[in-house]
Amino acid sequence: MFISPFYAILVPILGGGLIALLKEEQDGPRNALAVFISILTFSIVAPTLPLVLTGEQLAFTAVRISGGLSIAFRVEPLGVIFAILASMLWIFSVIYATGYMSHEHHRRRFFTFYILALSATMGVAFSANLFTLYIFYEYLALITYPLVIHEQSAEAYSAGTKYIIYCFASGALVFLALFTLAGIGGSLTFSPTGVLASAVADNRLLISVMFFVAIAGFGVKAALMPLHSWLPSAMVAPTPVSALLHAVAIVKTGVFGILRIMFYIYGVDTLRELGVANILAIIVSLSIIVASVLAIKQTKLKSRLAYSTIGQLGYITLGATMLSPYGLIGGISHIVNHALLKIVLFFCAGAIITQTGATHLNQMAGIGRRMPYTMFFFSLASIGLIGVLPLTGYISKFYLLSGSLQAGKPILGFVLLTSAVLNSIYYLPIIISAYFTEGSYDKPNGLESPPSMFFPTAVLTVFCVLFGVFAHYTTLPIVNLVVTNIFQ
Amino acid sequence: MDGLTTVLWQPAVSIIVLLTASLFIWVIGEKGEKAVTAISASAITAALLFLAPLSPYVLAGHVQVIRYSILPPFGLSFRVELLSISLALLFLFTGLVLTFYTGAYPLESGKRRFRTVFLFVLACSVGVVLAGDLLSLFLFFEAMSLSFFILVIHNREQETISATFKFLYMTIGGSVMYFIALAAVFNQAGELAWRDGGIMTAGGPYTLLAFIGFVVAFGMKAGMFPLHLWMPDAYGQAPAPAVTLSSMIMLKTGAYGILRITHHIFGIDLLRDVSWHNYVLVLAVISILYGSSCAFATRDLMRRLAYSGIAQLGYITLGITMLTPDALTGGVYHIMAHAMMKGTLLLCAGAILAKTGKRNIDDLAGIGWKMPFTMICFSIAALTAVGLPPMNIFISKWHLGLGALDAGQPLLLVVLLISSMLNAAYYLPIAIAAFFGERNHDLHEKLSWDRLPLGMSLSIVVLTVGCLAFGLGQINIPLQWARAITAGFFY
Repeated sequence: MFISPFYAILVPILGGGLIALLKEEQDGPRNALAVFISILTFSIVAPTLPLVLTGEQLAFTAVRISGGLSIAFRVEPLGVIFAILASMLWIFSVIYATGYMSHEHHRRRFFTFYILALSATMGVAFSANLFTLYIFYEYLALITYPLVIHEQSAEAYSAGTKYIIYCFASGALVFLALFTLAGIGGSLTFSPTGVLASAVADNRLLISVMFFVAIAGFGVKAALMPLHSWLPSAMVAPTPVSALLHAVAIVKTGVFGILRIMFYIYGVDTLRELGVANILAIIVSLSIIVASVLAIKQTKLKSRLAYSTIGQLGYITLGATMLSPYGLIGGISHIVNHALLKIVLFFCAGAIITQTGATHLNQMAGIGRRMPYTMFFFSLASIGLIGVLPLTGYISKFYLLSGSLQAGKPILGFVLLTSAVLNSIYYLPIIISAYFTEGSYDKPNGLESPPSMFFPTAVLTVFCVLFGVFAHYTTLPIVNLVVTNIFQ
Repeated sequence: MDGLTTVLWQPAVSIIVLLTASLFIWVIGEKGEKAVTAISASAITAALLFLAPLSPYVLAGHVQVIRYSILPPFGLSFRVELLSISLALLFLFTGLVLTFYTGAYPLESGKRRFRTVFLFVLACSVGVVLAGDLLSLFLFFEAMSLSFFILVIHNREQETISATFKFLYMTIGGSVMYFIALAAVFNQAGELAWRDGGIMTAGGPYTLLAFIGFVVAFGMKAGMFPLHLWMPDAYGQAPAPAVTLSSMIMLKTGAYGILRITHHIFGIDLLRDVSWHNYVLVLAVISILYGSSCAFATRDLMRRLAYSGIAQLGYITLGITMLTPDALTGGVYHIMAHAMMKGTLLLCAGAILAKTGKRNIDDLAGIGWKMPFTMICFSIAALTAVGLPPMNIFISKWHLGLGALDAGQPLLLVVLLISSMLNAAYYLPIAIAAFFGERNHDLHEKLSWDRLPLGMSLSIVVLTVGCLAFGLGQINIPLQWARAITAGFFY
């Protein structure tokens, strides 16, 4: 019983507690402990992958609450994908953060909440029903607030306020949907074929409306336009926070919630009957295009990456709205692919900020001289997001395009391709400016950024290639399993 | 699949050797030019030695597909057959010649980066022609196209940067079109690999979408009108070795792609049904005429060669889209003949540019006396371009003409004639003025060379011989190969 969501959640909580006990100056022990906790959590979670690939699933109930609600966990394929992705990237981010934060203040507070956030994410991943998901969703929002306001500047506080307001609003919407659907449908336990089929006939309008309420609720965290504006503001947080939480963990919680609602509460058949997926497809398409266009106008690097994230997250939801197997394969694999690629980009941005102080793109002319490898990682990750083989992004694109044709909606494919072109418009000039324009940077002395920041970036860039080339062995088996269960 | 039971390792290993050498150059490139040239040359020679012995096997008509289970959805595959091997050998041979030229060429700073990317682009182009399915081809095609920009932007001036952006965005646009075509083929046919007779069975919106996507992507690479817009600026800005690499090798991958999808994705029966190939044929004709006219109009030597390249690639595309055996023979033969001719012209132009800094044709009067060797080779290549025997381009044009008659399109003969005359009109005057024009007295020399570096002169000689070789006489090996390739497609 070592494989248990309980341990995956408890270990980071205990770890966070221990970190809180260490004094501010005790950087060495704290860094080591943080890295150890994240590696330990990953090793608890990792064995779930081979487990679910054999078809087995594990169920745990923690607490029963009246009214049929309970806090319960389940080890099943989609949750495993998210849990392994998050815990794996947490390791790299913690290592990176030890380097990045070494000159920052309030490190004890930072690492305490950074590790605690891992427990919340694990809880989200392994939730067996909507109520549990809601609990951990709210918990995650609270835990990450201190990370957003870390700088404690006026800008940080206002970003934090915006963040918490959006989070509570989103939680309220989710709770409303949860409450209503529980009243109609009874159990809110996730099932790959949906749980509302029997209730649709009597409550069609209500169920349709609640769909959009729930999607809006999770859509806030998923930075679905027009609910997105907390994300660019939150870029004021230190880069390890931006990288992990806002490009990987929190926003992926949002899309994860959307997927759970769409396929594990509503289910493909119900969605087809209600016809709501098409409306969502339109909203998401607009979100993708507008976000990509806005990205072009951003002059700060992190803001540009934030809007890029908003657009790319749309791919995941768009794949889901296609209601076709290929589309969903593309969407779910993009959860993994985007996370890998985007975290590399943020790590590079953070290295640039700490080593040169440059935050705006016009300060980065010629920076390829000072940070040649970092910009090389940046280049690879950017073209990966554009969809160039053999980096891992092309796989999502391929399946998403095929899915749009399979669903008979080629227009969605064109939305994706337009976005790809826009992506190139806002990434390629950065690369060209870095390497091929005259700047005031000199060559680096030795390693261009601290090892704790450089090597995680390098390794993850290699992962971006390996996950693409060897996708048959990494992501595709389990993604296929999820999709097969849903489209039975 | 008879004749050989072992899985052929040569394609994968050749490409790996070239890529590894490219990385090697990056790592040790500071150590000196000779070392870099040695590494490049050995890697290319090794690849040649791996692939050349496959010739008897492929000439006998055997085909083998090698598949590796990486790279979803179907894996990475190579296809060993006459067309792919012959093009790979051509690319490697011309790449080898060009390597020696580049080693001796006076590039500005950043030579290590240039030569690394040069070899990388060459490796990817070999990968394109050896690929066995649409996805594998895409892998190499994109890698080749995207990294080529590094060669274009070598000089880093403002004009160069805008030319580079144009190239990059157009390339990305082409890739996007290819991607949708790829998804459409996957959706319709369920597979992506080359098959005799094609894998698409019926016309329809998705099939048309796929056709358009591929034509845009490959046509852009081949400089087909109206997607040629990247070429003149890029050719004007990039260093001569990069331009030659593009002309001799990279552009051909576009033509190759069109050939491949015509026969092995769509199939000529389907295309004859829906007549889509006619649109491409029209674009090829426009490319020929437009390219020739613009070449005539511009006074910059490199840009003139760029526009001429647009026209020449139009010949190849014409040969492919006429859908007759002789036309295809002419088109395929022209891939080789054009590489020799254009290669010679570009290497000479590069030599002139390096030695004198002059790129405007009006400044080149009388240069034949300062650079006799260069201008003689240039003149030979110019005569070749016109299509006179005994140079071998005559043979391509002859077969294209036969093909046009076969296809019942005698008007195309007129197009061929007009473009040959235009070829004469924009090449011969340069050669004539070089020897018989007013000597330009302030033709000061940029470099104090008495003669061209050996690397440059040798490469020019080899390609000039290539223009003349096999022009007349009974034994015309490239023609035999071209005929055999055609036989493989029209049976």
